[in-house]
Amino acid sequence: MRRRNRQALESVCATPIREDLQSARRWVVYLFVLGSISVSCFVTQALASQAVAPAKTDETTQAPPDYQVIILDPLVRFENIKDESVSQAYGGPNYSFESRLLTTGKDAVESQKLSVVKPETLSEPVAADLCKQLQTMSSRLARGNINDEAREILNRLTAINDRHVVLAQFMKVKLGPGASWNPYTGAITSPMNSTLVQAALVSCKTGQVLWKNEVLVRKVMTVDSPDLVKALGLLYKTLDLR
Amino acid sequence: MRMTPKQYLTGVFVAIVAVCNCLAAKEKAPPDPRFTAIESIVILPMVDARSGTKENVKLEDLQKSVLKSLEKRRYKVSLSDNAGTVGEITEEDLKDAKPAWIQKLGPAEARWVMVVCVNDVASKMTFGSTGNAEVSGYLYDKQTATVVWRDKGIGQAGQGGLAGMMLKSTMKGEALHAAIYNLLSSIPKLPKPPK
Repeated sequence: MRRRNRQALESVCATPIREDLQSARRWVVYLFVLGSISVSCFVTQALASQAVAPAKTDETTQAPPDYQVIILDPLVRFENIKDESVSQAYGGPNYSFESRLLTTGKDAVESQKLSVVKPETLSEPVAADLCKQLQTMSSRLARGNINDEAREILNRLTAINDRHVVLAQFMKVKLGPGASWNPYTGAITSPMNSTLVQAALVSCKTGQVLWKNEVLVRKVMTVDSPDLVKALGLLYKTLDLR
Repeated sequence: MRMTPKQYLTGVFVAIVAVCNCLAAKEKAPPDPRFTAIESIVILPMVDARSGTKENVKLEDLQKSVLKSLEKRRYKVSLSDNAGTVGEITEEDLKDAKPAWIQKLGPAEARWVMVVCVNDVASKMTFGSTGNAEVSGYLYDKQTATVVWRDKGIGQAGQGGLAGMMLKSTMKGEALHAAIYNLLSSIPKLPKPPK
């Protein structure tokens, strides 16, 4: 009796299950075909866009903007981390760091095919004075923070030439406690020295920050250190005004 | 009656403690009137003045930590999420605060406002792990548009060995709390209010 029931049940169920399997296979084939079509479309589109890409770069390779970059004298500050007291320069006098920054900044600007103007060579005697005022604000400007006072000075520079752009550079070296190890407790500390280099290009006409960047290195570097060269290279790596 | 060495040493110890206490009491300076005049301090949101890559730091927790430290020094303190109408606060603004700028800080009704700035936080893995933090604080009196107090605090934390390596994630926080503790230690503790 039981065997008969099972045979009857199998004969009833078997047919629809087989049909379902067949239709499922059909759907898999459809989906595969559709998938391959869409993939091929995507690939052709990608290839087409790649083919168009050179033309696009031709469009973007515009002549650099006609800016005249005034490179402000860089501001270099060595300070004690505990009380912000100005510390003796480490690894060379301040002016040698300033000249290193100035040279790197000039090279980076010239690589953008922009003309460099020295503050002291500006025809208007007022301009040199304005640049000196701006230089005292380098820590703010190099961060891309333009306050009302700076904006006013920038506007006055625009009156002389509206193509003027200012490059501000700031370097802050913090001297802090060094590494330590307590043999009784196993407590350790790492040194707190750091060097921060910041630079920003600011448009005198609009007060807009055209470019800015900063590099923080957790060590103190000497003026001829390869680490300083590397840090300055990284600082100007992103400069692209085209 | 002859004194035993133990009694003699105890006597010397008590005498030293008494002398030290007297000296400490003598050195206790009268409280600074600029601080005793403070009725309540409003702590503004923490300023993030860090450079380079910024590690994740819970600034709200630090604001609460400042509140607790000031309460321990018997000041009436409250937190505020309103920095005022000064816009974005930068380190340069805080350092060279102009009177007009000070008056725009924080809620209009607040007189004494405090701003704490996180200058740097870093943690490092060596054979162990370390954390360094640097903070600066400013307390302004808006009525007189003056700086009542400003200071800097640094904190260092670290533990060597494998245990220290496993504790790396806690080092930043530990260093920051140490820095805040060191920063606020220069604010004088107010005398107990008369009963």
